[in-house]
Amino acid sequence: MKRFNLNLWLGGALVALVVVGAVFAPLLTSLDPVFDANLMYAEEPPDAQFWFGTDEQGRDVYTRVLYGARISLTVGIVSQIINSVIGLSLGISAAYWGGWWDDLVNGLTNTMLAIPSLIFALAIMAILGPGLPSLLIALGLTNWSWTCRIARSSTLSLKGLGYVQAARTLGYGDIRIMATQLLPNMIGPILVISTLGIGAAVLAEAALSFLGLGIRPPFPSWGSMLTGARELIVIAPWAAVFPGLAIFVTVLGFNLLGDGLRDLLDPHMRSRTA
Amino acid sequence: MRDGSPAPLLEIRDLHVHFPVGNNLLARNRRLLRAVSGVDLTLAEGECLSIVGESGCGKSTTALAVMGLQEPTSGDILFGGRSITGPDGPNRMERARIAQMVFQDPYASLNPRQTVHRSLAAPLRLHGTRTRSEIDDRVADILAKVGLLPEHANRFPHEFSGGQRQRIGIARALILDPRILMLDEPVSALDVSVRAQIINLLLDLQEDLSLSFVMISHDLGVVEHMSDRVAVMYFGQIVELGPWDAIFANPTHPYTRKLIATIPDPDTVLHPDRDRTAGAAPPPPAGYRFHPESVDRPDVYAVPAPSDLLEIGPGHFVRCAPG
Amino acid sequence: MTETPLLDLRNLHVGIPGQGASVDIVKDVGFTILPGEAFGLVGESGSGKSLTALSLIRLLKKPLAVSSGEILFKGDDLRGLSDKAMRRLRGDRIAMIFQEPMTALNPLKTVGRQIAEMFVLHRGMGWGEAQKLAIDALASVHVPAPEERVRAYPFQMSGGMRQRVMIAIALACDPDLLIADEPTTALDVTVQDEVLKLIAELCSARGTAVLLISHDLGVIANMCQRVGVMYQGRLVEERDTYDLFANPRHPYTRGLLGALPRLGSRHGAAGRQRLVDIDALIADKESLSQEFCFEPRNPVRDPRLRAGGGA
Repeated sequence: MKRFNLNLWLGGALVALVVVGAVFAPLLTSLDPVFDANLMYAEEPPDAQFWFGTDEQGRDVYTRVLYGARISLTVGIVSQIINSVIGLSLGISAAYWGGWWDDLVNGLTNTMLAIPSLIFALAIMAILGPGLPSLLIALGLTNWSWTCRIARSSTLSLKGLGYVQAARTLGYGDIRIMATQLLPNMIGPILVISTLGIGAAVLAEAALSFLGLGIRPPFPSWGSMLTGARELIVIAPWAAVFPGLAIFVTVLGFNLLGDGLRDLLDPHMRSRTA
Repeated sequence: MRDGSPAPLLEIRDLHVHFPVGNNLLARNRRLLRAVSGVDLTLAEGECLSIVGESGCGKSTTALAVMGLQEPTSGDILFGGRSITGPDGPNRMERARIAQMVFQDPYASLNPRQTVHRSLAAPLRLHGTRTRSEIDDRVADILAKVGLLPEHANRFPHEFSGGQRQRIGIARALILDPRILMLDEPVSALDVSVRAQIINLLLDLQEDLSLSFVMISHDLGVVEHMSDRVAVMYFGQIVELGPWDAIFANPTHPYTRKLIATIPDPDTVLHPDRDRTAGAAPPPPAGYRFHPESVDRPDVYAVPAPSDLLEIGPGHFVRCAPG
Repeated sequence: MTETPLLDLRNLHVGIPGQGASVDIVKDVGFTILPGEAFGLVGESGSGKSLTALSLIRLLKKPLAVSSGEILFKGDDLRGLSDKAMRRLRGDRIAMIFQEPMTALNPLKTVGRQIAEMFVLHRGMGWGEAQKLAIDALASVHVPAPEERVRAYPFQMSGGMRQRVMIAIALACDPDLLIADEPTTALDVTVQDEVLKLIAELCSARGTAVLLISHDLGVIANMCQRVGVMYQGRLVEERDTYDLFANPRHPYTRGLLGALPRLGSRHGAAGRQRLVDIDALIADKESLSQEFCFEPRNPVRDPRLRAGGGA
């Protein structure tokens, strides 16, 4: 309480910066990220006109980074919502019902943890093909195992408590108990893990797009911008540096925010995860 | 049951609850922990029946089985002569109006994210009370009954002391007008002064609402103060059962005697010469011996040796085995 | 009373530095314990009984601190000792056992090693010799098969056995004073009985004085020669145990005794009696004489009291 929560404020500020950039992109730049290409100005270094320079087609890197934030945040937040819904439903129900369902969910969770989620997402993308919807599905199906674990262990410790038992004797159905008695009381740790999950999804999106499986050029995703800039790294390093910096700031922001939230909501968890 | 009244309100018949021990799926013969082995009990209308014993004796498991929170391995639980266990028993909604529970730990028995009003109103809504004014009246009414103010309804649990929380827990247990209140160590987590207030409240409520209590407790002072009848449990079985005065004035089973002798009683300092279980242990009835003979830990995994509850006084039973 | 007291506590105040004496949590507490005597401190949650004990051995948790008073142990003021000297005193001359034997023991070390540590730390012995003494110490607290049990870890023992180990650790160096804070609250009654008898037996055999802290009047009555009753941070009554229970003077003590459902109280009485409601008693100020300065209790508990171990 007394200590200034630096993580929370710094993380919050970085995330706010990215959110503002994404939401107000059309106000912050007068150019179009895709169609305002002018080979006359290709590979210009940063100056007063092009703050972040231009790429090989003469598009403004600043404009593309701003619009890229829209894609990164959409992918991060939507896929994390899918992950949270899957992880929470599986984790809470497994611990609450127990038995073969718990064994099954546990096995599934452990399998998911054993496969690197990026490889798994890659496989799904390979089947579904590139594009935003398949990106959301691929990342939304592959990163729920930590949420599931936390939901499961929270449920195990909560379900023996008096108020959960009382809800049963009062005639509540199982789903109602999970939604009204269990879920609200684990929201702290779930919020923390979800914030960290958004950062991970942003990174995964960049990686998939960089590999050409995510957002396809010419649409401005930070990952696909890096792909394009790879060949220019010596001649026009700014084309790679600024999208890279944007990824760095966003992921760092969400991670710091997650740590800060954890300190704020659940001081005991610090020792558990540290 | 002493005066041969009609069907008891609640009847537990030969209740067994066994837990498999060890979570090895491949183990062929998993051992069974016999938490409750063969409990028979009845509860009369308006009565307070206490089940006493130490941790692991099966008293809480018995309570959970009555509440439907623990599936019995075998045996029957009847309410008003009708079985409430098994697939033909009443559903959760019907059961809710039969018995409700007051929990031991007032800090864990209320949902920290719900106001008192919400904790009390949600069960009403679930059970068909629809109009807002009806719900508000009922909540205010029940809060008054447990000694809280109407404005307490809008507060969260963390704003209350332990005693006040226990009052809220009692209010929640009463909100659906159940016939039986299961009291699971209702005052053992509370301070002496608060404990007295809650005991007084429970006794008042029992009279005003003509409730029947089953109380689980290890505190014999509280048990003697509140009970009509007492059942002493030891390793899954009832070893002695009888009217409260018979149990406390004439404890017969070695375990009951030991239990009573070991309570730290402030009066011992005033009467150091008075032994609360005065006199030599009574010999078991002819041809029988006490089971278990000594009060050493029996094997909780073994099937208990055959034994019977023998009536040694009006309504006073003690467990003996053929000698 | 010509004997010099082992512990002489005078005008102890515990509070938060910089907050002024009006918010002190322990107020003006003083009592003495003679060598070999068992003194009981009884009170409800937040009465300050545990904080009083913790302040004796300088284990108060921040921000709580002793704001004034004298703590004379064998005539020396403990408040003047350096931290290092205090550490040497703790465990050697003044030992302590707590309520929860599972958390008070180190789960990663065998119980034998934890007892032996006391000899190594305070007696400068080698491990081999200390380990042998640990077996004797376990035998002295009636742990069966002590030669084998020295190699056991705390989780392999029952609650009662762990509390016996705690007693063995506490009494290892033959302390002059044993502080026992709710030593049996977590135990079943028959186990509680055994542990209390053990403490009484060992301490009277060795002449160890005991400061027993409990909420349970029965435990105090059975164990102690003298009792102090704490309420709202003050010591409201301090008497011989017999006098206190036979003829309680302070209204709070009377209320406490009346609030307790006591065995045998219902026999011969018509129906169930109502127990005394202390808060109602206190609210009814007119029944109280002026000399017993009662303050109504604060319904909202200060969370720091919990954190400070004021259970």
